[in-house]
Amino acid sequence: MFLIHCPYCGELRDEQEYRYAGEAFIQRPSLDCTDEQWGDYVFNRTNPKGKTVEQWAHAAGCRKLFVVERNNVTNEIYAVRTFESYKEQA
Amino acid sequence: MKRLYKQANERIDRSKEIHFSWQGAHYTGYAGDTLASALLANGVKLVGRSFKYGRQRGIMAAGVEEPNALVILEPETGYHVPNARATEVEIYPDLVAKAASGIPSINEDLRAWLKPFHRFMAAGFYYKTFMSPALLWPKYEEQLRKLAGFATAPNKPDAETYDHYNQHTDVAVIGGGAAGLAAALAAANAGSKVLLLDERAQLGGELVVDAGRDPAAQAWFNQTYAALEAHANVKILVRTTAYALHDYNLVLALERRQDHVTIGARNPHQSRQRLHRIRANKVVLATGSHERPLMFANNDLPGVMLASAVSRYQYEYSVLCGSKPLVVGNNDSIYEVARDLVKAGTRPTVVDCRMGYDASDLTKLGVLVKQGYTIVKAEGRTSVERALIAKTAYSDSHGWVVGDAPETIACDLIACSGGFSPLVHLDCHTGSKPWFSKDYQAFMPACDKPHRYVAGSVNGHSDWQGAAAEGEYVGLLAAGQAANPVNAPKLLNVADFICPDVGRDKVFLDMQNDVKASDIELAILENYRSIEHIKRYTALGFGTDQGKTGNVNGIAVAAKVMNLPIEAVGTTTFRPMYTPVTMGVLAGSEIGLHSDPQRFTPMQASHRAKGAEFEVVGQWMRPWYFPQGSEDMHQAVARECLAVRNNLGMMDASTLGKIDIQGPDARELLARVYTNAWAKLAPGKCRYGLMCDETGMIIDDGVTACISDTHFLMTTTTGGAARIYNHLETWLQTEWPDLKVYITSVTDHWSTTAVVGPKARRLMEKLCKDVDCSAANFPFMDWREGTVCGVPARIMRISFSGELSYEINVQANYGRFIWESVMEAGKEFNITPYGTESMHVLRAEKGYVIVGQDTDGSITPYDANMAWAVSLNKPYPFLGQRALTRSDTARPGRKQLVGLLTDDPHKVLNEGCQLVAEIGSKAMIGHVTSSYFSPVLGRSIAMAVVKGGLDLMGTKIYAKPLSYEVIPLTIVDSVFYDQGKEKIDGEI
Repeated sequence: MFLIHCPYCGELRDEQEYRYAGEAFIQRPSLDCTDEQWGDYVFNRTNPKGKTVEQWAHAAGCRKLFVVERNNVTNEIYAVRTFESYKEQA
Repeated sequence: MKRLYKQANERIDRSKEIHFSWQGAHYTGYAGDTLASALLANGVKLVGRSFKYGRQRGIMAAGVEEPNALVILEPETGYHVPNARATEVEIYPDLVAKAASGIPSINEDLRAWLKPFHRFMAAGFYYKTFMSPALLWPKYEEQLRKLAGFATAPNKPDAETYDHYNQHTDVAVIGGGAAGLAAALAAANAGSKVLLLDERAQLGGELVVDAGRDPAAQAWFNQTYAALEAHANVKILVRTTAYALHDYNLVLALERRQDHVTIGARNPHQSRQRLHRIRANKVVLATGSHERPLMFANNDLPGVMLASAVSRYQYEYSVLCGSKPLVVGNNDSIYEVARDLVKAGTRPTVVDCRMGYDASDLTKLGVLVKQGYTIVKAEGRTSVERALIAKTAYSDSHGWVVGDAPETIACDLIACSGGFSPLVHLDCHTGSKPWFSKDYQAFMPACDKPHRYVAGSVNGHSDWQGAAAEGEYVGLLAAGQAANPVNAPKLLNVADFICPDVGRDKVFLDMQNDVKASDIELAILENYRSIEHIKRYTALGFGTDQGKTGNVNGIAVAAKVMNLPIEAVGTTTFRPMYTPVTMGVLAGSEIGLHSDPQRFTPMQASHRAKGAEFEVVGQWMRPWYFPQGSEDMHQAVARECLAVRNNLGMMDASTLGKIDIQGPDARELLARVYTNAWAKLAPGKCRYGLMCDETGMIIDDGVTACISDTHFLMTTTTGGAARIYNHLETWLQTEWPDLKVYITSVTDHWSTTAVVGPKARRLMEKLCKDVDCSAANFPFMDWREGTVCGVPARIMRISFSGELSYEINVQANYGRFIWESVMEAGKEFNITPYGTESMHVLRAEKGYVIVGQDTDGSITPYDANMAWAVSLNKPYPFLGQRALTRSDTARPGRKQLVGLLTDDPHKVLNEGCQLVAEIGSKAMIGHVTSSYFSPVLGRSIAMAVVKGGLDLMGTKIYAKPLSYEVIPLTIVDSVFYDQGKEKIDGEI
């Protein structure tokens, strides 16, 4: 039961307000990709132990999705960022 | 056992006698007594029977660690509490309590008669004995269940209520002993908001015993307690057990608010128990420690108690647990207990396995002190009558070796101490591993998580002054103040574990589960090595006490048998809950309709007045069918279906999910999420859409209306509304943030009355004057804005039955008015309201799928025979498009949606029924997804998914229900009725 700082609402709120929305930054391949590439995109996840980069949605709040960089062993949250901030960085 | 003369600091109120019932007999105690102290004061020794062998058991401890004294409170009433620990139950007037064990009673237990067979009932006995033949297991189980477990479950609904409470605090201090009190006060004085929790009715923890020995302790307690009570920054919660500590310092605590109150006097407007969800910036664990019993033969005999418990009963409740006590142990604490017992007027015998402790003060008083001895066996018929002790010798290589020339000492109480185990539970809940201290012979808290402190005897302090000093220190740290480090804990002088030579004697480790030292040895002999496996094979540390007294002893025995150091064996995992938590308080007020709310359409009152039966669809209460007179469901459905096919029906379709989509890119969003084309859908038109996820499988369907080029209204399945809304949001925010489109859930904003049947147009012409409802000017799949009974409406000519149908959508508040107006106006046509069951039959007659019934997440649009709804030429490929050409998705032999007709037209298949190609075959080729009796066709129809089914039209296959029946049937097209779509325009 951790606390997540919503970058849109600007508040530290209980995990119960949020919805986990899967691994972040999965690249959607184009239509001409191989079956294996599409299968990877659809079914395979990195499933790391330690630092994860994942999407969360503030389901009972602003309903925005954003990125949480979290340690899934200790539940330490390193960063909470909007998708835009990654784009600006890139 | 007896009650002592009044002592200065006792915590009972002798002016308030309390009468209660135990095992059907009448007893008296005082206010402040626990059930355990009151029973001990009344000389009750036998309080239970053991789990497996039916052995006699007495009270062993004075706190939550008690393994034996499990009781049922207020049996057979709405206040029934199974498996309460007598040591925690505060007695109240007219309390009714009985033992949770004993078959048929604790005085006479059947299992004890099996004594000659007990030696065959070691660890794994049940697995080994009852596993074969497997067919007989249900018979065995039936009998074993009767013998297993303790209390009976409540048989009446809970008469009380529960609630949840959120708390936020700077510092949460868990434990109200010396360390916790000092920490709370220090943090509060430093300006922090403090929440202090303690599981007992009064603060003080083990200070009660210290105060009995040392007036300074009482004075310190009085002063500190008064300061805390008066402090504006401090909130104290007693009778509150912090049972879990989660990430980010979320403390879950159970407060018993009324358990100590006489049933009749409980406030019905107040919860019995409350769950506190506490978010604390800092947590101070001042949880204390539990004493370990010694391991010796018959150490479960009533009269064998923890030494510290004996002192606690003496000082807190003025109860003397024995008149001829033997105090035995491996550490210095036993001498303090012996001094307490001397003070209470007894002459105890002290047995210490070690040499060298200066006990001259005791020997001067005539106390027999046997150093270099330990206890090997307790004897007695119903309780302790004597103890056998033997000489000890210690070597670094072999540990303690106990001699075999026992001496007998007469006694009626064995107060034993095998050292202390710090209560590391909460510290371990977030994944920390305790470490083993050789000096203290105990697993110590790691306390390696941020914003967390430990203080007091959980950290090894044996004296209250040291504990208080450390409490003050961590209290200041928790408040963010600088503080001078305190001295290292004054550890008790504790010798190594005295592990018995495991012979035929019963040496119990886990009293509650009847786990003996020999069971641990057997498990290791059978090659269980990990302590986690040994635990599960032997049941060590299972049960309501979770091995609070027995676990560490069990680990020590395992270490000895495997010849490993204890730290190499390690502990089992400490998980929440620290002590049992009622199901009621976990649920809180979220029970019944608060747990699973019911959603009603605006027409609910009308449906109810019509006598509708309801079914739950994604929390919605939808009319299922509208029985008339004595009709059963099948009769009602037959009547409703025929009315729709031949005349006129009406249905409440308000529950469909509705999503309003607006913006320049609204059309583009539809094109991307639906498999079919949307580019040319003009305002005033509707279109059916099929939605897939990226695996190419159908996830939803529904009709979308084009309001304008930048405005669409999407409908989803009733159960899929929230999921599809999430789906759209996720794609819009992650992959397509460039699309200019807003989506809004408007499910509750609109209500929908569907007017369905050949005569629907005649009724609409009556109700709606500003829309031309003729077939030519208002064709199928169009929608019109108009006025129905004076209410602005969107009328959609869409159909889920194949009949002429108008769905009247109005602002939700007008829903009931429109429904009732349609009903009234329809009387001349004999209009028939129908429910979801008839809707299902009508749509199945037309072969329309229901997503989630005929599809199951493994069906593509092609599998569903809906290639017509797939457009592969859109500029932006729709979600799932690429997946449709994957080798697995495109392979032949996938299950495909077809119709089935049974040879016997009256045979209605069960949904889910398996299908096979040959009568004798066991290879499933598909299953039935929908099956009904069709009133209009006068026969049964079914839809099914069959491997390669679309190429098997006309093929005879067989259904195999869960009986010996084989039902022959034929694969047909899934459209059973009106294949030519001649009925869609109704009566012209």
